[in-house]
Amino acid sequence: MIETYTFSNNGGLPEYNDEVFVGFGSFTVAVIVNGMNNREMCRRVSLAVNRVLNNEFENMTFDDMTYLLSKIVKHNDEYAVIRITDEEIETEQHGGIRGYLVKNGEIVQITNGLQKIDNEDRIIFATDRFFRYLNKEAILADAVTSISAEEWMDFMINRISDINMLKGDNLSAITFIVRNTENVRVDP
Amino acid sequence: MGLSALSSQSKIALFILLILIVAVIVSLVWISRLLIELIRTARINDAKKEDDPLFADVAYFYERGNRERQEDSLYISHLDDYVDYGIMACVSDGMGGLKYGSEISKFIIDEIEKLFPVNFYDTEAMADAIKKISHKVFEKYSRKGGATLVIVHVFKDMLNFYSVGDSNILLIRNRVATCLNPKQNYSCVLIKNLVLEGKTTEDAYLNKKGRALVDFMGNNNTRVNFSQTPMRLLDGDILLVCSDGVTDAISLNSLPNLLGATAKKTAENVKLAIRMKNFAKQDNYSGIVIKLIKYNF
Repeated sequence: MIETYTFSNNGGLPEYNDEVFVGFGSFTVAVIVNGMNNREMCRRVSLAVNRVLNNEFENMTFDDMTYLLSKIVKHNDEYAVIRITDEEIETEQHGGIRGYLVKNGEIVQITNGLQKIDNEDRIIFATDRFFRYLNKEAILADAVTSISAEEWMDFMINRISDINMLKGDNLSAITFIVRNTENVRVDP
Repeated sequence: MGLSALSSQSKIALFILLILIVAVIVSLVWISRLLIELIRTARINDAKKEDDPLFADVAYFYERGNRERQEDSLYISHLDDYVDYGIMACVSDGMGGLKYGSEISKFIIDEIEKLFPVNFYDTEAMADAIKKISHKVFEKYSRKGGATLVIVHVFKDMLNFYSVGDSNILLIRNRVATCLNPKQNYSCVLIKNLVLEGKTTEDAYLNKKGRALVDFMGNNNTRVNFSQTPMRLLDGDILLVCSDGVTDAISLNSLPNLLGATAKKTAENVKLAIRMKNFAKQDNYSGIVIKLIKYNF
């Protein structure tokens, strides 16, 4: 099972222009789009991804998904497609949207392509405006301390809030925790 | 034409040539073996270097500030146990405004000391033990007092940490200071609520109760924040485990400017920097500095 939490916040701006999509099935699919510079593109992606995530994604390969998106977006648009199971993650990241993997007490940036993952690995994808306020040690510390994908996000949001009170930019991120077992610790 | 048809000089030349060819082959085999051995030794040395534990250079400061009483308490485990159990360092800060602050922080530190040595890899058991200590404080003082608690446990090149309240565990790496532990104060609750409403969070910082603790040692059913898995430490990392009297006086950004060559020098620099600020309401300020160093023997 993949535990997931998404965060999308307009950051005090009148509009939220990014998009974060998640589809659940035998695997989890997520798409993050930076719409700050191209709202029209983001709307087109939104329509296409919603259609795919609502109906067809279980029957699509990762290559099908990225091909579909490549037909909608332009060369310099910023987006990431993530396909994740209990055992592997496949990603395609464009522009300032990037991901990190927390594994064995260390944090590494995720590169495009297929990568093995294990139980309790923690993964974050976000826009560069979200990462701007966090260093890798902070992301790592919050990952190892949190008991859920939501709490990990909360800890990072607290840090961003301490710097800018969540004012100034759209913020978009998604956290995943790989749970091969049901030993999710919840304080009584 | 057989070998016998060759002149004796040609036979000698052929013989020398054969010897030279054999010598070259033997030399090549010998050189390749030597190279393989050298590469193997280098790899073993590299692996050994990676496996070498980080050594801890430790120092502390313990200052009353402008408060009437010293309500902070510290504990550092014996460095004699470092190889077998690592080092554990704790700071407990008695809650100001409530009774028994110093008594409770001392009680907590004494109880933590009794736990050492702890199993580095069983952080849940350690968190439960801390929770039990908190419950003892709750039963004894009935929330008429409390304290914060921060603990770091370094073993080889890994770090576990535990936190209750709003004291600090700071990691200074590559001259950037990062607070590792989440805080348990009311502003975090307000931030969460404001975010859920899609609002900005300035109200959380304007709220007069924002800094009030929502959890502490001595509360009923305390939540202990702790590392579910250890964090890897690097050569040159510096940990500062401290009460909020330190971070209220010195910003995280300016902390790297106070680093010295040794843990002792860093501790002195931090202490003097706070003393020189001469704040009228300076809280107790105490901290333990751990500098991690990899020796190449």
